[in-house]
Amino acid sequence: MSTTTAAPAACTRPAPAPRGHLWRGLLWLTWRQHRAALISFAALTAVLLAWMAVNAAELSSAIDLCHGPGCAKPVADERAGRIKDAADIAGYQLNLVVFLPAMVGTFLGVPLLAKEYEQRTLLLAWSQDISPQRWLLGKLALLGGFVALLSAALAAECLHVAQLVHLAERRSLFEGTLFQAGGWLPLTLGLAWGTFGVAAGAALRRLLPAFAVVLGAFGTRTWLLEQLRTHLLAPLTRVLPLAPDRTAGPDPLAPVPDELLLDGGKSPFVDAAGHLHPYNEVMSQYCGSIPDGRGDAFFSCLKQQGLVGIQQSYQPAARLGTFHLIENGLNLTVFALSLALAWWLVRRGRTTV
Amino acid sequence: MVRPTAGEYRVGGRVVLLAQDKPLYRTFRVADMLNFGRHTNLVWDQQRALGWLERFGVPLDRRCDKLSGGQQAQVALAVALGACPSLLLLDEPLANLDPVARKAVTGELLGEVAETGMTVLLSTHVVAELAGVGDHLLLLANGRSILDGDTEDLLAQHLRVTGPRADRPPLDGEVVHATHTARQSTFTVRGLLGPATPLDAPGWTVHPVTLEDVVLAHLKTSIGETGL
Repeated sequence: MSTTTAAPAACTRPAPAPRGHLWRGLLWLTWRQHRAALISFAALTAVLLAWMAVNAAELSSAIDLCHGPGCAKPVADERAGRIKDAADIAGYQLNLVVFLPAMVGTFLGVPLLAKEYEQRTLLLAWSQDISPQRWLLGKLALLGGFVALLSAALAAECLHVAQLVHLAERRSLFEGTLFQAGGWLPLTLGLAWGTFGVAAGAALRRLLPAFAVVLGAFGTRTWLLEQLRTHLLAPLTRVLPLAPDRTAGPDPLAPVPDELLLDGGKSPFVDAAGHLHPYNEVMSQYCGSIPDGRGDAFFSCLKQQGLVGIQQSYQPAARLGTFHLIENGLNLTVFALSLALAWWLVRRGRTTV
Repeated sequence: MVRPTAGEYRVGGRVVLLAQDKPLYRTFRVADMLNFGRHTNLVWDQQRALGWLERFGVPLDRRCDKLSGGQQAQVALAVALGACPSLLLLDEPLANLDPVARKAVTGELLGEVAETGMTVLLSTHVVAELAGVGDHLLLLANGRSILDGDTEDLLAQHLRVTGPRADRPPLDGEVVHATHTARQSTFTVRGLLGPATPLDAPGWTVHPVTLEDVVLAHLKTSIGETGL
């Protein structure tokens, strides 16, 4: 609605609404339009948080059971079983949290503008006293605040669960889901993909194509980062000397460093002159036929070939925070660009498809 | 209001637009639609909106997607009127209504205009809807104005003459449109005196025209159509 000059209102209402009326109106409208999605996401988050808390308590109590050489075997077996079960469930939970931002983008972000375009209600919404910019700003602030609140709660619980899985399963916090669910990434992911959904809906003006774009882009982003993550900073290398006890498995009680090993267990071997020998070459030509469990024989075989160590490529534990910072930065960039695109599209102001 | 690509406009007061497809939030109840109007406008007359719905018997507790097309149009009109416009822009407002409802809505709208001093700008392709409704007519063809004036004046200025086949009518004035058969010609003429124009030609008769006749004559001429 445009009012360029004051004129007598053609109604019986004595005075215009008080200051702040339109913001309160936006609050009502946002709740009325999105309440099904808001209730669903709030309920899903509450259930997920409760489930994570219960499982974390179980994992924590299993970790606290007697362990080490002095414990009875039944207790050690029970501990191992309970840890495995609870850690498996924790893995599912963390994966769910990592995927949830795609749901936020699809079911909360996309409909914000695409549904209005599709049902042609934008002309109705934007021809009232609320300007399109105020309409978008208010809705983004309210829905964004809601997403930030839920995502922050989930991100905090993820930190707790990931730490427990790290202790229980002796996995590095730099690896896989533990990395993706840590460092408050679920918070920035939720904001980024929520606004990405809004921008996709504004650009495409159709629900289903925008859903497909959000889910496709999220899948592509996940795959792409899996490929690129290890190379975001140049990896370090180190040479570990071969020793018979290395083949006997790691010390079960030693702390696990939060490093990211890059060779997938197939680090190249090094000879005394410092030359590298690819893992597959050594295994296929010399020592690959030795059966598992014969660590001593394997070690002897490597020695006979003149190999004295392995060269390991890795990202050190000290970089874990930096890597989280980089990915949070990427997420916030997506958030800012999506916000700018949605804002620009709304400012263009065309309401018809 | 969209910025004009050329020229300028000035508006005094509140402007409300009701789009042709009369969009409503499908999952909202009718009462929610009124709440929507109340929450998103600085000026809102709930009684006026309620009164409009009551007059047309639209139930407040029904979801908008469960209403008939005519009832949905009434809800959209109620929201538009509740916002207390000084200028109400209606794009094909009667398109979803049956003929009885069209008459009723037109009558009620004219009542609102008389009561509140609101201006209604109504666009329509249904020429018959115009009779007795507007004070002023702006006729557009291909996006350009081809007739613009007070409706009473326009009616007073136009006449139709019928007589033996001829190239011109036997009176002064601007021939707006002409149709011919083998033996007869009919001219729609715009002259200062309209139907009161004196005519002293054997075989020729003068007839008053309706607004629909005027509009059709100008439109046919504008698109180059003759003989229909």
